[in-house]
Amino acid sequence: MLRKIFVTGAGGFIGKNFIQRQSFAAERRFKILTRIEPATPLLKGGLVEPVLGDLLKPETYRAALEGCDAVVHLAAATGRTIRSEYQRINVDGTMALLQACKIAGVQHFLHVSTIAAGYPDQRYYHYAQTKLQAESLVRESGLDFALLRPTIVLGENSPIWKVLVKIASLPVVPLPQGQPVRVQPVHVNDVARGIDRLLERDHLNGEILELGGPRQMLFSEFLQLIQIALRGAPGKIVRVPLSPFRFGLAALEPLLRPVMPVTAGQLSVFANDSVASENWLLAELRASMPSTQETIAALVPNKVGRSSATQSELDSSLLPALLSVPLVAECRSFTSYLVGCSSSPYVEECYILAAQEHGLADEVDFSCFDRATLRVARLGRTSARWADSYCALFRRNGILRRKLILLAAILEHVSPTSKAFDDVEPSSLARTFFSIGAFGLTSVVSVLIGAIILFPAGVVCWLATRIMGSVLQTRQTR
Amino acid sequence: MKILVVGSGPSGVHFALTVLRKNHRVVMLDVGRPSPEIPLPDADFLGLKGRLQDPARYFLGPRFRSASLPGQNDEYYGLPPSKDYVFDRPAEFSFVQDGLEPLVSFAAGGLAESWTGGCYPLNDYELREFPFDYQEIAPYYSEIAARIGVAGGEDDLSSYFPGHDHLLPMLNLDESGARLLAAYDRHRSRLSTRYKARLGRSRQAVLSRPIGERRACTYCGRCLWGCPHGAFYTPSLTLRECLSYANFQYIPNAFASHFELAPSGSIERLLSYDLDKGAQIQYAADAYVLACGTLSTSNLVLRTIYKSRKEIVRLTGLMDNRQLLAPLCNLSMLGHPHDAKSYQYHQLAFGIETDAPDRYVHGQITTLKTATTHPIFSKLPIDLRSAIGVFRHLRSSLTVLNLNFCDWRREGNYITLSDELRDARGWPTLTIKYRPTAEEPELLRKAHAVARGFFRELGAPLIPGMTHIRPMGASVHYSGTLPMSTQKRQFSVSPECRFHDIDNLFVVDGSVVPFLPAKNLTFTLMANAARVASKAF
Repeated sequence: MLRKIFVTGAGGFIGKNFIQRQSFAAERRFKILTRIEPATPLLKGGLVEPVLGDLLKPETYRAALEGCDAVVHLAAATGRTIRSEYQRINVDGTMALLQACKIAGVQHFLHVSTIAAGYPDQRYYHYAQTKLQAESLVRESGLDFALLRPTIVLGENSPIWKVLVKIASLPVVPLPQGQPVRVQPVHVNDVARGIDRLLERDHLNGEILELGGPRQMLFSEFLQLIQIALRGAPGKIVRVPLSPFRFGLAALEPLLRPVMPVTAGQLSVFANDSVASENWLLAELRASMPSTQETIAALVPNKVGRSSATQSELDSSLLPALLSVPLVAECRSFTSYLVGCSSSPYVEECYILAAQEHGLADEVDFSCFDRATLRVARLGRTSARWADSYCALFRRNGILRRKLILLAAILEHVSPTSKAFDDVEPSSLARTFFSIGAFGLTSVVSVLIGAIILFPAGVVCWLATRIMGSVLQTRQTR
Repeated sequence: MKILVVGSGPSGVHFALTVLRKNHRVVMLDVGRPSPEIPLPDADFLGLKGRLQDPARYFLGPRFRSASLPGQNDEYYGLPPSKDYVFDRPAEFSFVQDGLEPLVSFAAGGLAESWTGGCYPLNDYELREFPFDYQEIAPYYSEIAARIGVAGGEDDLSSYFPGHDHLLPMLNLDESGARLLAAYDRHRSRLSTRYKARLGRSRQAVLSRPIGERRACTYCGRCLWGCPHGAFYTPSLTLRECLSYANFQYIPNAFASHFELAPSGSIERLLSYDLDKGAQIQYAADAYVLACGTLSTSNLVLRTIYKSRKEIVRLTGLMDNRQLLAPLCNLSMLGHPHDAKSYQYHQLAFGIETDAPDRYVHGQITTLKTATTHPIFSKLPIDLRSAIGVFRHLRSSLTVLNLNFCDWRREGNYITLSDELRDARGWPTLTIKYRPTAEEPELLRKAHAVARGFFRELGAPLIPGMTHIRPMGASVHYSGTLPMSTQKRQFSVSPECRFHDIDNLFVVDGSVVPFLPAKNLTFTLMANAARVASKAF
């Protein structure tokens, strides 16, 4: 076990949580680098020793490093700052700390980085670029190191949580997206546990460990989970094109950055998957992680009385809703399309369970084009018909068709929606042919509109799949 | 005499009932999966949707597995979840197959718990390879008809279906069937001459008037989902009758594994497994009767040979009916609502003559009423909203023609054991191999062409592109591995169905059929079991 630990960024979001979970029983002692005298509670009655200093001035803390077994480097410039500040703190600061460690004889360096350091698309995202540079410095330092890359970190006072709440509270949420991206939010306590777990080892052996929460999901699903926790129902999410949005923000940033709600770089989260690749640490921690829904429910303000609620305190009737928000919304929309009326709670429950049974609940496994068709279909009953018409001809076994047929199977056996399948007024032969013809004509028009919308999406998905395949193949060859 | 019967399917229960009436003592060994309780017996089909507490799970199953999604299933209709128990298989029975996907049942009552009730006697052409003619088996057809109740009568198809006693009056015909039959009556002579095909009423194992505690059909529309009144016959009704006999002992939850032979070659005892406790239990009797279906019977015989001689043999001649489903649209029904309150299985039958009289093609015509509809409308190449709308208007006119084709024994189709594959108890695994004949595609094409022309002229054209050839195994008429033969041949039985090589073993199920006609076999199996019970005991 590494016992004497020097911590930078202990006053930050993750750092505070990490220090607060420590106890004397662990026989581990900490020195924390701080520019100001810390508040007494953070010192935990002598468990933690403050070191007044500046990350960029190693002479202010070099002496304190002596005798330490390891450094946990959490300090970083985040949020909306200028490029040079990212460079100064994240790159220059890390370099200064590494040199001080070498001089002081600290052998182990645990660098808490970010999942963004691994983003393939880091355009405009100086934070990610500098964190990646810092990782390189650590790797080349000659110290025994570990790189920990948390995904989106949630918890009390999580900076991103506040932003997410603001976004989710909008009546209509504009979601900038190219390809749908996946996220895997993790609770800050689990990140702190991860750091603890690494320090329990005697040796850091150069691993890159990505750390996410218990489940991967689409960003839109994540937002809807927050919406349902905030106001009991999912809100409207409208996809907007990502590239022009990013480009515009990047152009305006030099002038308007201080007043901009978000930077072009921060939009990288909508251009890249923020999910962790499997590793031993994630596997170890996963079993005792709270679900994403529980994490969100615990963060929702007191109006529903859950600010620090535990799983057992949660309103059990809300949990199924939380677990299935996208499917409920989908069920309502598709029921309206198929039979022209709203779905009952019974139908929604059946649909959710049936979708899970048939492997239609988790979008992570769906192809790019299947996700595109679902997105179009979910916009409303008319767009559902367009997407369905196109798929009825060109993607008969696709996810959209399977979901719709599964729902139709439920609706045809449940009163009163069964009437849409069973009842027909007696009519003349001419009128029957006219009705059938009208359906046929509607279908033809729907196919044409569906093709206009989905054919380009199909081409783009096909190209994207080919390109991704080539990239993966090239990586494997290397 | 103490007789041990293995299996409670149609052959087993009618054999048992016959010998019970002759005061023999019967022990019936069976896995015997029980049927679930039928909910709301007073509700009709449409009422179920509104009155059941959990209708989606009743109609689609507790895990919604009966929902037929694209890419998973090409069938137009499947078996309802209420019949899932029929196909619940114990771990003790495993198999590998090549060319025939079998359905096996270990239900009390066997596979016929989910049959569609067609009762058609074979004529002398079809019995040509059997060791008896129609005259000999006719009394047993009559006997079985009296026991189970068969509705039917004389009509244009009577030349294909020989007459027998105890036929009940015909059921009320649904409107679609009535219109088709009326159209046929108008054009009978022309159609039968041009196509050598005929249309008439089905023979159905359903009561048109009450018999004993069984009520007559109430036309509640629940046939497919389980008749709540016992009007529709299944073998478990006869099993219940057997249980009323003091000389009958029913042992469920028992999986019959193999026989142990005495040095003389006769059976000394049957070894079985108690499926609850896993223990091996032995049963001894004066005579042993296999009635557990062709696959299980063959398995038991193969295991017995393997155990006694350390030899793996092939039981050749496996047969099954090929089935072709052709949806058709009865144009005269367009604009009419469908009638859910009617008998749901086939009400009309259709016969096509071929060059050889025994190769007659038999069809059954079912009007679509209460079957699950999403497997059908979802196949239309249009959006589902339109498909539901179109389907609703077409529904009353939609009908499915199920054509059955005969089969004959061939050396290349067999059941054996695979030494390389072992089951959980170390037994070589049952292995099934089947290949259709080279001429089959041509037979199917010709029959389909006849049906297409015939029904087009009746105003009910086949729906283009929707004809579906069902996979081998779907008809569940497996037969022929231990055929009846007047000559003493290896792996065959005598005309009284006594195993030629083992004198106290009888086989009364489909294994003994030497030729598989196109007509549904079950009625003949019941009659033959009663014949054997009468003649040999």
